Amino acid sequence: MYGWTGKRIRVDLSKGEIMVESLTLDYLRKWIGGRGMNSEVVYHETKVGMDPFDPANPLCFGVGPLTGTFAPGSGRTTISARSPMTSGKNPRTDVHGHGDASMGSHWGAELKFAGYDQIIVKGKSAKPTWIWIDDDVIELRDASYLWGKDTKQTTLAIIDELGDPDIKVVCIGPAGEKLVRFAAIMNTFFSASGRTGMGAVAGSKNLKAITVRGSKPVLIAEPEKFAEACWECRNRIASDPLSQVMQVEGTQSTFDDGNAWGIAGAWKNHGPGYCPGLEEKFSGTLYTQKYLHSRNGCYACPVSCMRYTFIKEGPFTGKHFGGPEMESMCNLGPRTGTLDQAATAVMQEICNLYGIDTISAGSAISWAMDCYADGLLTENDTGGIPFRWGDTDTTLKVLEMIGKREGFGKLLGEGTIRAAKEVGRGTEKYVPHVRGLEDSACDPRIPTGFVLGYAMSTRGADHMRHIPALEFMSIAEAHKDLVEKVLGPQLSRVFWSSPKELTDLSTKPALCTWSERNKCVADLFGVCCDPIAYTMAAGDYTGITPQFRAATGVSWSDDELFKTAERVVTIERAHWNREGSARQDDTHIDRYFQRPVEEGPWKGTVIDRKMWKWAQSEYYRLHNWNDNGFVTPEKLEELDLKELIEDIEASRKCYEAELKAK
Amino acid sequence: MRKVIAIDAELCTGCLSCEAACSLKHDGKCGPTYSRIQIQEFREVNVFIPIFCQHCNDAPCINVCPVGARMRKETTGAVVTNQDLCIGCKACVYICPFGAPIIHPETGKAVTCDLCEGEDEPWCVQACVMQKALLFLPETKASVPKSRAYARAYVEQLKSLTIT
Repeated sequence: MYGWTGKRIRVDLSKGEIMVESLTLDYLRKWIGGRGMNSEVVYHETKVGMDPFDPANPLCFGVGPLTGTFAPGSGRTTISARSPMTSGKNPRTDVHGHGDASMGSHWGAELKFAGYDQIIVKGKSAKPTWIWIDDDVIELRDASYLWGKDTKQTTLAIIDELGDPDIKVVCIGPAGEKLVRFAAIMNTFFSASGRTGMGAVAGSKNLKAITVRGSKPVLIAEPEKFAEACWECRNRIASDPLSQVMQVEGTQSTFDDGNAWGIAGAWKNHGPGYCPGLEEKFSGTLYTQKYLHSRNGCYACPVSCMRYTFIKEGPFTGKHFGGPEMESMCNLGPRTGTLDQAATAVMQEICNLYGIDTISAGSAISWAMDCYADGLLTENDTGGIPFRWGDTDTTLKVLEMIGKREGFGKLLGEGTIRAAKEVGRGTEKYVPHVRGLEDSACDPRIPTGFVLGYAMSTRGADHMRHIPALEFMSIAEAHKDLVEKVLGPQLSRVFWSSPKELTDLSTKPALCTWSERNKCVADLFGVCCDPIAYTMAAGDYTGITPQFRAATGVSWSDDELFKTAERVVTIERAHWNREGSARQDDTHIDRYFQRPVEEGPWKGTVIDRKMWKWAQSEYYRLHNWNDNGFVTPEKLEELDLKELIEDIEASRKCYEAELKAK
Repeated sequence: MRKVIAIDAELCTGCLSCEAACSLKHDGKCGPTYSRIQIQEFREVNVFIPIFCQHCNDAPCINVCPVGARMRKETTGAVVTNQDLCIGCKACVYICPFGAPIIHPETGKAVTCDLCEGEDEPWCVQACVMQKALLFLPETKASVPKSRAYARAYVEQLKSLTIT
């Protein structure tokens, strides 16, 4: 096989068994790779109501046919399982659904060099274990001496044991071991798979790490054609101004973009919706000037946007570490009411070492601060810790408590929605979330494409499922032909003529429907979506499909690949439908329909309830889901997912009967 | 005047695009074990050092090779291994100041950079389009990236001293 290795590994930690399975071209045609193969397994090999900590929950690590090749940004891995974080039924926190997290850097490429497209881990080991993959040799090794170590110590210890600095490690830290619900999995020191608690799933299996060394090449069907397609794409990315900004300031440049568009970087738990003068103290530009030591690049990426920080002034002088990314800065910084960039970066490093999702951690702490400010949470609840806005000392301390599951950190480590349910007193109204996963940096009122995307995301509130970046005028203006292609002539006219386009929902169901599949194609190929979803330097997914065809030697059309992306999104949606989660969960908390943005260019903005109802219905119509958001039997037939019909229909009938009864 | 690939290691971000390009060009597949350029990684401090044949003007590998397989190409000035003669003894690896020769995964023979003979620019240099850690320069300019890296650091130091 070309592109793909055609093999995947199944590990049963309960039995201590390892199996290598061959993948057929038919299967790969249906699911492609990476997120696609993962989502297929996570649906078919689980049952309704399965506890994410059940040993039977399949923890999948998937890479794509382009991972580990010369294709730009070909270092991505998706990690998927039923998520301990996410929940449904608006929300019933004991209802779980699909979860996944994505990471870059180099581990995924190494897995291809070892000769595998995916690893599926089930069962639970009696003792802490790590998996060693050295080309054809796959072993389970004792991790007792690693248990309790942070992610950096773990990686260094394994490198030391094997005597090879080039081996690549994914691992959990103490947070994952202790089943913190938003525990992350770290790769190659500081690249994180943060969201939806995949680290906790690994911890529940007593799986500490997976280490890979590979000596094989990824085979390419048509090397000359492939090289040509890669060069064309790489050079286009290199010459794009947004890529160049990304190189200098990293993903933190998107924070600066947000500032320019009047979106306030989650100021004080997405409450006020604006912070005057934010950009003067907290920006990618400032960070790069003051704290950047050097940059770091994921496998085969021409941009190299990752940061390596070295703090040379102030109380954290001498600290150096990888990161931080934009979301980490935003959710630990302005979200908690601080504009101290150095402290925020150090907070991110604490999260990396313990193996914690920075977005969920920042959300939990900012929720506590929000409630404390309104008198709904006191020192009685927090074990004596005051939660004042902008108190970085508290945040730094509490992050360690979350990682160790100590005191109030233990409750916060359950995820914000569960913490709020425990405390009660109306604190649930202070948790910006969808399906139990906390909203990230985008204000849940303003950029309505992202706002709709959050609600419809198949892994809980997440901007990375859709990334409808075309809704931002500066990006749209640079890609007018793409706007025309995506929206069609009629909706394009609406888009260009709308005075407050960002807050106008009317074009967003169409934009989101396209964006979701566009972005998914990158996840299937195992490449970074930034050049096709955010900077759009590679155009859209049709800009990367020639690389795919030349690498693999298949002739599958762009339309077919786009449809495959639709199939993947649909099976993830079906996972939620099967749990009884649909329209009731596809929404935001009341706050964003009621509390207007306080100041700035979008002052007065809330989500318009009537438009929202319309947008939900329109989104379902465009997807051929019924008006409650259940995938229809016709759509499942069309996507060759007939075997899902029975369960989805049963669930739909239950849901609709419950609605009638109300 | 022959051209060489000059290195500014401070600018290397460890993305390994050069390794992917090199293996694709020479062997039609993508994999670091096929790459004539190897990046030595020190990830815990984010330092990356590109290593590849420097095509020494007085090459110790040419002298040490027991079968006379190491030779200089007149066209590019590159020092390469004659694959028909090489016996894979690895003497060239050990005599090289940098340990540059790789042992080819399929043949077991020593292989080194050939400056992508026939191309306008070596593929690794082209792949490093945004970082510019690798530059294809006339040999008399080979020290420019390194000396400018030093000068850059010194200039930064001077700048910070002039703040009042």
